[in-house]
Amino acid sequence: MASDTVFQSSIANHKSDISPARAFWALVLLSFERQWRVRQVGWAAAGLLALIVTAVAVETARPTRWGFADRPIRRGGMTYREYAAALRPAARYNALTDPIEEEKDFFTTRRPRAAEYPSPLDPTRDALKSLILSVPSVVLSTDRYGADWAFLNFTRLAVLGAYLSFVLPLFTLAYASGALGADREDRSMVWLLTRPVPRWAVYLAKFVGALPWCLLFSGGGFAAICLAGGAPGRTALGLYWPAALGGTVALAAVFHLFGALFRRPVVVGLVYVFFFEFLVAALPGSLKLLSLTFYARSLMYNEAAAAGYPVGMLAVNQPVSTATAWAVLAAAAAAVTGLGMWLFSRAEFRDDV
Amino acid sequence: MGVQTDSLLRYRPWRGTPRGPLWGAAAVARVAVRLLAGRRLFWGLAALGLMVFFFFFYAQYLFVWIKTFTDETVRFAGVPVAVADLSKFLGRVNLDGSVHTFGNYVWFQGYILVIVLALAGSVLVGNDFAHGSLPFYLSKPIARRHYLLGKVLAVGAVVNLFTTLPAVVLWVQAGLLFDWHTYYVDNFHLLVGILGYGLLLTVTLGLLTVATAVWVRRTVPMVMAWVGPFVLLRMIAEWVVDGLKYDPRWRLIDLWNDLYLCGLWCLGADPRTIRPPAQPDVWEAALVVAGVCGGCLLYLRRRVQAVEIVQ
Amino acid sequence: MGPPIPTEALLRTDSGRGSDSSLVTDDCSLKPLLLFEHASKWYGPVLALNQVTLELTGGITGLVGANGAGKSTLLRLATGQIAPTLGRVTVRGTDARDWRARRLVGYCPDADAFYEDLSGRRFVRVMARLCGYARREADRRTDAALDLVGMTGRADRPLRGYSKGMRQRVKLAQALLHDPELLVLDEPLSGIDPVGRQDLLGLFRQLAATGKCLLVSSHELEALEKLTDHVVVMARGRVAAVGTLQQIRDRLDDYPLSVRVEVDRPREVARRLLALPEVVGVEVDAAGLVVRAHHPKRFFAAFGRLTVEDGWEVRRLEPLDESAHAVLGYLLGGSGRT
Repeated sequence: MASDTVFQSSIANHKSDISPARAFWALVLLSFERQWRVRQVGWAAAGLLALIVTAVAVETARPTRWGFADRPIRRGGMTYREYAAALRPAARYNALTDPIEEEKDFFTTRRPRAAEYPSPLDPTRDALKSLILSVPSVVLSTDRYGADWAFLNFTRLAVLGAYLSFVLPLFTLAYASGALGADREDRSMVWLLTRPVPRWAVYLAKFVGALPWCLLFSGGGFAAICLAGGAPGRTALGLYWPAALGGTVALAAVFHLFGALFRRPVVVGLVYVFFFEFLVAALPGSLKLLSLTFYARSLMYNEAAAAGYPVGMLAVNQPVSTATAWAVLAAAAAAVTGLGMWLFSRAEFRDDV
Repeated sequence: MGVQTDSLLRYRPWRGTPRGPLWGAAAVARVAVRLLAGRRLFWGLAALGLMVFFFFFYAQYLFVWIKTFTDETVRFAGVPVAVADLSKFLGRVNLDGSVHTFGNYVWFQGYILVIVLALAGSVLVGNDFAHGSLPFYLSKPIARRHYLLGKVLAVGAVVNLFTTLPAVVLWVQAGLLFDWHTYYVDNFHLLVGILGYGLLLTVTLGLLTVATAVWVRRTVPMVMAWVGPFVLLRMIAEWVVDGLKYDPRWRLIDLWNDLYLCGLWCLGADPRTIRPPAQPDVWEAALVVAGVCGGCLLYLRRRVQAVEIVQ
Repeated sequence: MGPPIPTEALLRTDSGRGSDSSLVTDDCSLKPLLLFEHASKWYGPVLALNQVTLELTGGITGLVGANGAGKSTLLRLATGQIAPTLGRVTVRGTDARDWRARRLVGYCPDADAFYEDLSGRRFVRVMARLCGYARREADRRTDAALDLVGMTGRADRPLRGYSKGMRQRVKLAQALLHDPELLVLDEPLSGIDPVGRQDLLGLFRQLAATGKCLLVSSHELEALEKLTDHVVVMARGRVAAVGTLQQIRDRLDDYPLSVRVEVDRPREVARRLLALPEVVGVEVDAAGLVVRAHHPKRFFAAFGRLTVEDGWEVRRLEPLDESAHAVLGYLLGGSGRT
């Protein structure tokens, strides 16, 4: 045991050195570091991301490259490009001379319809028919059309599908709910609550400390998916990253609140994601206005529309304007964080249950 | 107090004989189910499951009710709807006590079951590791495999509570809505099929849940490891098979779909009626399910033998 | 059920020792360091703390009671982790829930959950940083606090490998970091070996000698008796008695105690007991008898002697007053049971 003199000289009478602001930032740092310690979450996230990126990369590496020209119309059948080529005059005239093979595999070749047969006896009609039936082939060979289609297809499947309804909610959930959730699960909350720091500051500092991880994994996941997507992916990354990050921050605020309120925040969060962000966001009515991903979806839709893409195929129901979406996302994040700070100041945590 | 108390208090050894470790496993399961039943969150999820059940329950009733109409239209929430349209719609969603009623019911319940099992895994197994209650179980005269068996049984009970039991109720209800003595006799194979499907789910999901929980222990990674196969792999399977028109065997990576195929086989469904179309063969799905079970068993066996299980 | 021990007279007693005059420097210091005013705490339907009024000004105060008597609840109220359902808890006039109150309070929790992967030194340093000290100052305080609890040489290993005694010391070190006026220690001696216990007791005395106020809970009076004779006895969420051990003993001797005795020959037993000088009354009913007696320690000794001499078959012996029951348990040297 040390002597009295050590105690007197070193610890006593330094109250003026205490600064709540410094304590706040120290807690932010601690929160950030604690998340780093839970490696399993990182590995699980990386594993799931690797699966998605692989799937995206495979599609990018295929000759179709997110376009549809080289995609089979039906399983094992001819592609759209082959179909378009078959409609051109030369192919149609050649088809006339081909022997009719009744037994030829129905799926691999397509027999021309009656209306497609050339009609040399009526040249005007034949020329008109040739002109109309050549349109698909011409359209398919234009770069602009192929690129637009590829971009929208990538947006629909990879960005709105895999990213916005899986990667963003799940990764944000894992990191944001763990900020306070891990302390509850490990019963180490008492150390934070007995520091001379206001309760609301503890809540806020934990959030600020977890946010970089949410942004890193959600934003990083978005970047990885986009970069694996080739040319349409790069365009998507440039257009959509603000919406991705905005959605991440808003959802992180919600999940951080779950971490403060529930003993199993991830499970509650999953229910929320499944039934609110997943199902409700896709419903046509106005209930979807309550789901946060709907606003991120709207932002992306508006970005794509502003960039001149034909956004009809994105299947976003009645999107709100960009300004509204940003306002709602920011207001939701602020309101939820404020509510959390208020609730956390009043909360009592019992570690014996 | 220094008083001789030998007449007041005596040591009396317990005079029964233990009933063997398998009963111990049953006790572990019982305790585990009670533990889960004590959670409000569990009942919240059960309420969601009940919503799915009631949808099927009342829709079956609705189907019969619609068929009693001979008019052209019925007023449905104030809107006139052609009876033919309505019964065509209801026929398409198979709410008529047929094979697909029960298959669909279990399929839809899967979404909730995934979440329930993530909770069950972390509450029943993860907690024992994280909060040191494992030595409490292992100090009893049961082996580690009995402990794991108990937990698998508990998870199985939860699985059945969400799937088999309500499906049986739907079957009974269907019989009462139609002509009961012919329905029960003609469709007895459906009851057997439901029970078979339930058994399959119990074994597979029980093993998988316990194995995942032993592996990751904490709730957050557990949930992530859990939604991977059930949500992500399904998404990828649908994308690859329905979108890119690859070989239907790619659907085998979706475990819930594999279980569904095996379950429909138990129910005796015609493979051509299975939706979405382009499905792998039943034996392939069964092989995957068996592989998953085998993998879980091997993993658990290794963990049971490892010393570190009782840190 | 007899009337409770009249504790009101004892409640306001504070030891008077340790209230160092040098502490009284401003108005704030004139307010009691820790004050419970009719504080009650419900956990759902369970009443964990019932109308507690206490005032602490200095020195070492022991808090004894059986498990579940409400000790931890009281300490958690004092450290502002929970709010009283009714009543008030203040630290130098500031509500204990206010963060500024926690500057004056150091808390050593009962729970044994740390950030297990950190080393002891790193953990204490993190706690110092969370108090709001600059990096250099936090390092200095960490070293000083670890030195004070005798952990300097052993603080660099990960916490998960620590023994119970080392954990206790680390917990104590983090409570000392910001030089609090009030140290709240929840079961600091449980699970510590006798040598370590002596060390910790020495440390507590040393801290008290430097003018700190210590509130130490324990379910063993024996351990606290060596540290202080000023104790608060708790039973079923109530403060059963407050004062020095001698004061409580004296009061118990004056206070008639009701004991229910179930025995095979109640009438004969009643006759024999009435002959004892400590016994003031006996009521006999079908199942047994209720004895009212002064000087419980002497009464129980005589009762034991008579039981053995006459060969009574005593089926049940139970003091009827709960708080008296608990206080007695401790004073007679049991574990809360008579």
